[in-house]
Amino acid sequence: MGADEALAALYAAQWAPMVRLAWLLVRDQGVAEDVVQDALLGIHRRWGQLADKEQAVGYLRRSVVNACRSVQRHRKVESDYLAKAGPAGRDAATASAEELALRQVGNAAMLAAVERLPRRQREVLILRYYADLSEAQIAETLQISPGSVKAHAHRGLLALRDLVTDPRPSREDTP
Amino acid sequence: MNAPTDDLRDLEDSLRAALRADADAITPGDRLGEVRAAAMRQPGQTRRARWLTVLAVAAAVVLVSTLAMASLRAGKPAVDPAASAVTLSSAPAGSKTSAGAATGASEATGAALPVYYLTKDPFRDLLRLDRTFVAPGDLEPPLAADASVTDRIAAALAWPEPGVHAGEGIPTPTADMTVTGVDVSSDLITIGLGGVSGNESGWDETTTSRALQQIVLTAQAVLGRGDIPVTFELADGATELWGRYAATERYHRPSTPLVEAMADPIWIDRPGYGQTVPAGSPLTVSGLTAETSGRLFWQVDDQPWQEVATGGPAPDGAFLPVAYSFAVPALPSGPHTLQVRTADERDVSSTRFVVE
Repeated sequence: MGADEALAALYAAQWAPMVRLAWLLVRDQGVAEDVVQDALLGIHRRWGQLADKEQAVGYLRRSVVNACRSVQRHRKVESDYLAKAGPAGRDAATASAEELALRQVGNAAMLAAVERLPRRQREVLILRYYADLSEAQIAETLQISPGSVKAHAHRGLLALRDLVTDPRPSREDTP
Repeated sequence: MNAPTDDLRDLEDSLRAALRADADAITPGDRLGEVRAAAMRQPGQTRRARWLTVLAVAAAVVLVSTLAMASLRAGKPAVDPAASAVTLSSAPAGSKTSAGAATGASEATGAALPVYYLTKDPFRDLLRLDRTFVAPGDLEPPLAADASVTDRIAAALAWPEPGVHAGEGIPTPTADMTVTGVDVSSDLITIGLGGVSGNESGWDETTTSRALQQIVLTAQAVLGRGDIPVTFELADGATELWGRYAATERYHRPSTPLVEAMADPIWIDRPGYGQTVPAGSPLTVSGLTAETSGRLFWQVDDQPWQEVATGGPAPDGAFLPVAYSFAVPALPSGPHTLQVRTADERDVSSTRFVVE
């Protein structure tokens, strides 16, 4: 299969699920679509170099998660600045928070709690409980050991349970 | 996964339902045409040129590896300090960019800690070095603002947390490493290390070479001193790191092996990620690139792209990292995004900083 055919096949099978995965990680549909588009083009660009083409979906997923992580890092710099910038900055941050508050009320507490988890735990839980990936697949996607996946998943669930029952106003992210 | 208890099973069910409902609430737009068009804009000639570049770099790496092996057999360090200095300060020819500028320096106010770590390129099955920037407050435990140099370097070298990058074929030669002290003089960085004298795990030369580069790059970057070499004092009285590299040797920022080691063809060293830079003054941007076409372009926020005056393509056969530097006119206060890309837009790196 050539690069163009692979691109078309990957788009047909993976566009929607990857955009939804990216959405869960970055909470912005436009950015999520940009991220997946870039990841698809990256696969297309390097198709000839791909050592194992059977693993293309795995590489695509890893690229998407890495790009989402980069987006989150960028946002952190900006949010740190806004937090220091005084009333105008706080207004902007509040507007963004209000948008998030428009999520479905029934799942709002759970989703808000997920947002507040440390980055790695959040990624593991989303890959496990949304993408339905196996432990090995999550380890491959995040480039961590299966043991770390177990640890992050377990810690994440425990933290999630505490957060759902004892919500606090903000989340500390990690890069 | 660990077997969940009943209450965690309920939590898992709720979590799964919440994530599913939230994801299903969006309808991804149709971008097939856009994706295809973008793919088509990658002309065959450029693609071929890229292939030639890859092959040429691979050939150069073979040559470099051969020379490095020969050097090691002769009992000399694989990294030639003189060659490193020449590479970084003289390429591109005529550039006045110093090796000192080519660091991910974190000494500036508000800058995150530059962290180099081993990663694996899934496309070429190569062990490479990647770099990220970690806010001191995001480390576990958080790094105090007044942390000592030793603590800063130890924290940078300990990230990510031990074990997180283990497995999946990514070796961890520094997993047991401890930083016992750091001394910085005007011309030398001396790092006290423990846990790196032996090689019971049988790490191969590529792995230990990358790990050595990781330590040197990290130490120089944390200190903002890419212009002075690094040497070591091993805690247990050993004389070689991993039984291969003389502790007393002076190691500069690596040069020739770095092209193959760089996970990203463009590194933006300054400004560091998250760095705060003063308002009212031009900003000097510097970095390192493995791009051999000699053409780079930069952009701040949504302003027009401008070409970096790199001095043209690297000399024939010199598949070496090339230092680049350019000045950005004074920017308004606030957060900014800086991007540097190759001419064919295949590789782009970005950083974020704040002017105030």
